[in-house]
Amino acid sequence: MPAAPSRYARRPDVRYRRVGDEAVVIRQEAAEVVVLNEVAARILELADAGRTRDEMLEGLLAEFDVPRDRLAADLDAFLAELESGGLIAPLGAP
Amino acid sequence: MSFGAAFLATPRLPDPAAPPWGGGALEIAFAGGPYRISGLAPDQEARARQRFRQMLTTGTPPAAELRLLRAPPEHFADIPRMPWTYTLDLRAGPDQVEVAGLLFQGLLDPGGREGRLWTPLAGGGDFVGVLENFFRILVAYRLLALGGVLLHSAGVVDRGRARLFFGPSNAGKTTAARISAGGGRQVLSDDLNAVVPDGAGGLEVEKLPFAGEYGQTGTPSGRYPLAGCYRLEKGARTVVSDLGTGAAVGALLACTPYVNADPLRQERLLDNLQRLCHRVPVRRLAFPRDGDFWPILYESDQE
Repeated sequence: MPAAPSRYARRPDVRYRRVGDEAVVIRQEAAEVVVLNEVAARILELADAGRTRDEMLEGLLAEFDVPRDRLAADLDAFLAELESGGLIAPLGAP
Repeated sequence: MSFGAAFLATPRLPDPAAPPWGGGALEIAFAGGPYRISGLAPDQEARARQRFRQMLTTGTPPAAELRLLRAPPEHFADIPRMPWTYTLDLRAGPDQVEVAGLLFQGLLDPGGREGRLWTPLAGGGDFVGVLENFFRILVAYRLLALGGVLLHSAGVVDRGRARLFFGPSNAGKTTAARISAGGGRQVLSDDLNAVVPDGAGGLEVEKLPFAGEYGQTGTPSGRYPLAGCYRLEKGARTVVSDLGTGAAVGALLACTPYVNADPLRQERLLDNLQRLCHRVPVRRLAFPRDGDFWPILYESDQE
């Protein structure tokens, strides 16, 4: 399995807003609205802030009471989902 | 595809100094208005008066004006006949919003106070469609600027308050309207409704003169306090359930035509929708197409 890219950027046509624990995400080009749950919203925020995958993992471990292995797997899976969904794009290795 | 390429022969703006079609004008009173439509040729005016006859008014200074201007036919792409459905092109800028559609091009200010509509149609049935297509967009921006929203929804008045049933096409808006009308309730529209602040911290719903099975019928207009919004879903039985605030804002956002495609006004739109979600319940309503959901709605009011 190829290694996950280290850093991501929000795609330029994507806007989002935190609404309570969730995030409302607008994909402008696709005219699509997506709602993310609390953890997913936090991952998008961290990715948008330019955090590396490992920095995101450490940040999430500090915020959510989830075992490291499980959170790491969930993070990688969700980053791949955000990428395939057109919300973020990899910036490549630093 | 570049802006307007499907509708315009050339991507240039229409002549800003183009003359009006005529000296006719009318005023229409509803949410965000009165709206004055000016520059009308005689047949344009007659058709517009017929189309908006239930909401015509006089004597009140207009809050917004839409001016009709001449445009040469060669400005527009050669389209043999009006299709049943088509999309519009919208290009948003900081000071103006540009719109292109079948046989028209328009400019409006983002506050929805002023619009200019260029068309080659001197009248006829297609003219009314062109006018309405641009007018709806002007109204959407006007309501947004006023802290409200134009919502793709069925609006129903029950016990003096309005409930809005919203969702994408085929979600059940017309069915919800028919079930509600069958119970003797007043349907404002099964297509588009205006939500506007009432000036006292609440929100009101007002009937609009736009299309929909009920939108052009003789039901009375007026403003009604908004009691709640319901995201429609098909279901084997009637169930009212909660939406999280994020899901509620997202679902509403998807049903706010025109302005939700404007990246420069999405923050304002999200502000308005968040306020709406804080002021009234926004819930999910699953219902079968042949059942009356109102008793369950009343029960859910007590939860």
